[in-house]
Amino acid sequence: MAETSLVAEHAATLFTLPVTHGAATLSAAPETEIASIAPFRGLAEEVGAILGQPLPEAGAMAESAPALLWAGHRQWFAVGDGAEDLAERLAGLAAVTDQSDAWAILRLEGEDWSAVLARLSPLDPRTLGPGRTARTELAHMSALLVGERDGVAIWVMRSLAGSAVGAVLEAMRSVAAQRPAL
Amino acid sequence: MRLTCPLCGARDLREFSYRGDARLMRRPAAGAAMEDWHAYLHLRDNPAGPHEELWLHATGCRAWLRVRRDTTTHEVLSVELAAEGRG
Amino acid sequence: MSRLPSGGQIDRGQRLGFDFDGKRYGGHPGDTLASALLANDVRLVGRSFKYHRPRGILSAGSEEPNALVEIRAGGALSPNTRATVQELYDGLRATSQNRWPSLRFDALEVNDLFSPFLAAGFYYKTFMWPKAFWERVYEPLIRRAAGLGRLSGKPDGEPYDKAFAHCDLLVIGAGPAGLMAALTAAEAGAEVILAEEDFALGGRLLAEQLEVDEMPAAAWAAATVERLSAMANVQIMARTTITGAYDGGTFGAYERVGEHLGALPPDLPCGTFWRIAARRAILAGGAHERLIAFPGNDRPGVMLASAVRTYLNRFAVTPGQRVAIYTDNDDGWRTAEDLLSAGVSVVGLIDSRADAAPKLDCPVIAGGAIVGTEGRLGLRAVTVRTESGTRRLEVDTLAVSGGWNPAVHLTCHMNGRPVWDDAIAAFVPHPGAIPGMEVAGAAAGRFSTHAALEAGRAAASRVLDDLSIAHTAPDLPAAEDAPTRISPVWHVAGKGRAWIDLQNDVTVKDVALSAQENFRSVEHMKRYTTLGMATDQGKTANVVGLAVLAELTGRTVEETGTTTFRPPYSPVPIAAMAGRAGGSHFQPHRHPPSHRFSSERRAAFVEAGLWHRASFYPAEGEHHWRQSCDREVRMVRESVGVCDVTTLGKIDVQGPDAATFLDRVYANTFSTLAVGRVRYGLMLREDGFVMDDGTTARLGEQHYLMTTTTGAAGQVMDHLDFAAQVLWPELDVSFISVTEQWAQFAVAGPKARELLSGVIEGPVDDTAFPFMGCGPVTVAGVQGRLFRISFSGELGYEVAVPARFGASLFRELVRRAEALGGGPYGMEALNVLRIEKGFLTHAELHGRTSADDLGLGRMVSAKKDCIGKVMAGRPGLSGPERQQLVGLRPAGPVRKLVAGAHLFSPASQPGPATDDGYLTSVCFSPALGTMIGLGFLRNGRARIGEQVRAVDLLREQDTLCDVVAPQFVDPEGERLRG
Repeated sequence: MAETSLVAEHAATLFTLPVTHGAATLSAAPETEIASIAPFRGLAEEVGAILGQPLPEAGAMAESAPALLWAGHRQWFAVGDGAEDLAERLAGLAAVTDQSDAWAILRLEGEDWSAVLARLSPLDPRTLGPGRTARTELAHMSALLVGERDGVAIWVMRSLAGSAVGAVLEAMRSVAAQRPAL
Repeated sequence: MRLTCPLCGARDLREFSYRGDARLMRRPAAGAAMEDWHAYLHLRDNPAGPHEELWLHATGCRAWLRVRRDTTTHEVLSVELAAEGRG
Repeated sequence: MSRLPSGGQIDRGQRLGFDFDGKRYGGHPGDTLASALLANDVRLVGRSFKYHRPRGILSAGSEEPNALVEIRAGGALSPNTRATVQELYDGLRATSQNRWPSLRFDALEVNDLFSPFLAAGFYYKTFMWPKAFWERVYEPLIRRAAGLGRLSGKPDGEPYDKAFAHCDLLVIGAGPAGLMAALTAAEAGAEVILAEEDFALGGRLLAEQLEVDEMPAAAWAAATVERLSAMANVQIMARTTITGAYDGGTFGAYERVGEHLGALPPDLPCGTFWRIAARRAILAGGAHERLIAFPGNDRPGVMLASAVRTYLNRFAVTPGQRVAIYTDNDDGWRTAEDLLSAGVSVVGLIDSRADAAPKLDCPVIAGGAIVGTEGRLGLRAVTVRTESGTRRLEVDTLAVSGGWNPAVHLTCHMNGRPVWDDAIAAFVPHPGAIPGMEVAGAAAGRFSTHAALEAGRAAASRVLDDLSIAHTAPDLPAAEDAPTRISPVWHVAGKGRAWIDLQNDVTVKDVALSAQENFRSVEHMKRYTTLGMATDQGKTANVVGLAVLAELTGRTVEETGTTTFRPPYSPVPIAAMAGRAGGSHFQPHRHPPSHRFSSERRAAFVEAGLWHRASFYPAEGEHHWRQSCDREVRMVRESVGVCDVTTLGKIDVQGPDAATFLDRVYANTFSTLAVGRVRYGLMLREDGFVMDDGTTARLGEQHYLMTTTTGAAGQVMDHLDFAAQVLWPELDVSFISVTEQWAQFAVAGPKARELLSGVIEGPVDDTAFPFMGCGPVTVAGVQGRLFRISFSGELGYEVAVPARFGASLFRELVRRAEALGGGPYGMEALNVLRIEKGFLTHAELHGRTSADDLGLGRMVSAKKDCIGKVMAGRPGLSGPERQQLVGLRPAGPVRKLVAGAHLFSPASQPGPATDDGYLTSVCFSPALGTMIGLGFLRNGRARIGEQVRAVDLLREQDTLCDVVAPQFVDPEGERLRG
């Protein structure tokens, strides 16, 4: 066994972020533990009991540890501390799958975040506030959007990070160019 | 066009994918006659009016939906999860 | 100069220079190109579509049929730009269209002399024979002679955006009705989008000498817009045309973001195509004045009466110095009043109604009609016929009002048919034509300012009630409430042609010919004459055309009916619908973990779905892909190769019913698979044909990892979701894609084990990892997975690590492979390796092959049901009459094989009747030193040992081949069990 060690690479590592155009800023969120949870039939309550927090309704999230995000039909994501050992804690209760490396998470913030999003996604940004999540389309990509106080977290598949960053930056530049001259 | 996904709310058409007649939900049981299979796979009504059909919320929550839609006005009469009340 | 000394909503302090046909002129901010041309006395602006007649400016809005010009240059060239919509900017260069060599002298004006031969339907009658002339002579000739602007033929390099907007209420049009509706809804707190086609908001309020709320109408509009702008719940979209109304409260809109600017600032789009989702909408798009079809009504100088007022009042331009007015309704009188108050000479007001008695300080000819006009490049005189005879009036401008047509267009976009209203002699929208949309003001046929304001407020109130938004209606400002009085005159008989559709050159005579030849249905007449089929969709023409047809066929307009309007309301650049998704942005790109490494190694890339995969890695001195490919194939067969297979779909399947579920979606059985083992699986569609294949590993009692082909990953996921949610929701199974979670690399070749022993802790021998074994491993300190599977036929493994380590591991594997005399390999080599082994891809699994065709018939388990099983058992899906998978090797002097070639018996004449099959995959096999192929041959398995011809008539290939088994290399599989 030779002395070899592998280097971890951030999903959005190829891009120089953060970038600001006008009143919008795009940054890369730090990598975090992500585990998908799909409770087995009739066991959602037990899963909630172990997590100390019921699984959120469709389109909602819970700021617990780990945070729980509704992520689709019969699917939730546990995010952050406490997500790494869920497979053991929920054994026999839910399908738990490591998704930590599957996503590139970008944060779009600033006064114009919704104007930028309007050029990328058909989602009504008014339905997206803090504590809200949505599965939708973003520049022809499947995306998970998570509402934040002054913006949105954009989750896209890791392999699409380049296309997503490119599309968001392009929209940011367009919106910045359309801001009324001060 | 917009569809109101029972999980996601009103969404733009582009998130959805049309998947044909809702008859696909009624797969013939084991041992069914070949005629039933033929009907299941190939025979479709073409009503002018309410029509039951399947849609996939493809770039949304990935739920398969049973949609009742009027083929003459395009009015969407109801949208339900295809899995609802079946499992 | 025709600019009035004062007035108008233009900024006289600033001068903008512009060119028209190479000549320099000046205008002001606030001008359109049309108003600036008129201010410079330019009245001739274009030539007509068919007869090349000199044409001027007819209208002051987007309905303009005549004043179409080209602006911008190169790829950004914008033909058919309406001068009446285009805002003036400094340096604008406009060119007239459809003339040669110049606008004043157009050689094709000769068409006008031949007009008796060029009437409606002349194409069909004249160019019948000889048939061979159709494509070579007639069509090119006609295309050269006819038409409007020309495309540049270059890609449009200007950026465009696509965008989405959402609101409670979309108000379409910012005239009196729209402003009042927006104000009412906005004050109640509703989220309002107010869209206005014009760059200035106010509609007719900007163009009339009216008072609203005891102030000039334009001032009231400005004050209202200012109020709305200050409200956070209101989005005002100027320069935005609502182009279409669609299902479920969605609307298309085109915003001209940068079209009014000389040079686009960096990053600013030229335009944005919007999709607006509105819970409710109010159409307040106003009305269009229409022309009367009298002889010679197309000369430059003939203008809509309302447009004359717009130029006078809004732009402070008088279109002429000696003006006559021809009207069939009271509204035309306003034009006379405004001209007189501007000090312009009104030579005569000709009112078709004998009892007309306006109190005006100009000559009035009641009961008159215009029966002729004079002036080659511009109007010089008109001839008026009254009961007492004819009179000639020397004029340079004739203002015509034939009444107003409500802009019903959007209400027709979902099949609504407008209804005829005799009181205003026009069509009005069918109530409820667009669910959720109200129509208010002139668009609903209520033409007075008071009526428009009131209707706007009332429509908004209804919408707010409907949405359960509490509100108190704002006070209604005082405004005129003149009644609509009209006795419609559609056309005037006389010598000479009377135009109905100016843009497509359709005259009363053409409609008459259509009726005479029995094309009497409006839809037939429309297509026979092309009336209303130009870019303006006949906004000023259609109703006149219908009325003329009605008269000629002895019916009422109502009985005659109307054609429909379709989106877009006005032209939208196609580039705007593409938005930014052009060129390499046409679709997103997926990059596997090895992408950067492959780029550094100058790999060529090939698209597989959205993925960009390395095709081959050129080594020093290699100039052709075949050199690289052959070397990579030999490398795998002789030492070891590394290939990124992350792109294969990977689906994590878990749950108490996971095994049952897989048994139902796969043709073969997975419930019997032992933990730690991998099995090749075949998935069928319900109709019995093969959908996809791949390997599935059992990671735990209730835990499987399925793989799919790269291209079918999405389709398989949809299929599994269908099976789990629609067919068997009672099964307790969950699955999620882990394609992105795991980087996965194939390591293949005789030295594969040696390579992996260096990075994987613990043994990777036959005991720990027998052929088709799998399990968790530690890869250079990282938790990973190892699968003993092979798509090359060599001793092979696939090693997986979490994706963040993928790039690093790939480099490490390549480094070690190169130390062993191997290296990376790409898709080309992978394809050769699998063809040599007879492994399948979607070239073979193309949706028309059954398991039996592929030689996999026995995989369909007899012991259980699965999707596709029943239908796969149908007669005709297996047996000797089917085309079955075989291998093919050249046997004669011709050594080349091409995929797509068809197979024939050596003695037969190639043709559809003798077709025996086709080649799906071909390659040069370095192992065999010849080209080889996979294909489907009728009863192929029984014909191994025979010969066939592979014929491609298009590429002129005819290769005699031996039919062989589809495994060319190591048919017994000794190497992969290694």
